Amino acid sequence: MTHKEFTPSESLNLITNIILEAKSRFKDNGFAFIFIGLCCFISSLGQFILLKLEYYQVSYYPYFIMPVAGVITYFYYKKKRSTVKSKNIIGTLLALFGVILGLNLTIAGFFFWEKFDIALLPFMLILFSLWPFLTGVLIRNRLFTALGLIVNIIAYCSFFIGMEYHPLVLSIVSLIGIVLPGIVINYSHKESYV
Amino acid sequence: MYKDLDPLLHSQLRLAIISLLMVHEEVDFNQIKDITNATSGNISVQIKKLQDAGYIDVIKSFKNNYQNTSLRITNKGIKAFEDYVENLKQYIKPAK
Repeated sequence: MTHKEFTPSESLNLITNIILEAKSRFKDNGFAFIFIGLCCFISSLGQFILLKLEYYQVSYYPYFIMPVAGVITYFYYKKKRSTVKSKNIIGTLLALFGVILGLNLTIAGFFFWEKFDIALLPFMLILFSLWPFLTGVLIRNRLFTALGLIVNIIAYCSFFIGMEYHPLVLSIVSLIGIVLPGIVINYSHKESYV
Repeated sequence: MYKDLDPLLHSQLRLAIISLLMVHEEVDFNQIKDITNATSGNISVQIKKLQDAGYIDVIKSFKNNYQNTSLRITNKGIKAFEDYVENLKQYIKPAK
């Protein structure tokens, strides 16, 4: 940017562009993705192991860590917001979307699993796929968008996979669709401080 | 009647810095460099002018063992920016 005087309309354009640019820059360390993704990986893998060991009655117990993970994430970002002074529309949108997504997954998984039957995992994965997909579109990252699409395809493919393997599919999806994008965000966050 | 535009703000880089500070409560030097694509030297000179006018506060601290310079807009700076935008509207309005 050069140091020069300019016309009023150029001046107004500059103000608009700078404000839009500042508001669209997303800065996050990927904590939500990594933490929620790992918790989801552990709980779904836990369920898969319990099912394999024939503990059918308690096989869903590992998922109780998910609401706890949601609460921890909420307080983590609440604390972080009090120290970070930037207002960012993308961060706010993703946080809001994460909360809505988390609530829907919890309600579907804990209260409507019988109604969904074999469609529970595809339904959850379709919702899951929206998170990396939306993030990819908002921060203009092709990897995220591609991962969102891959999870979406896996969601439909899972209709043809035996139900006993659904938790295993969910654990794999947690790693590629949530933890991996989180690591990418975390890496670029660290890079920006070098 | 056209009012004179604040000469301190009617400069590309200074206006960019002030605009940025209007949406971020605190902005560090690297963010300004990143968004404006200006050189460090140029940014430093413009920051000094804005600081001397009382439009911004400059906060120097240490972040990960590196010296970090961050800026905040003052109430005087906010008022100057708002007046600048108001005056700018007069120039943009179509003549009747």
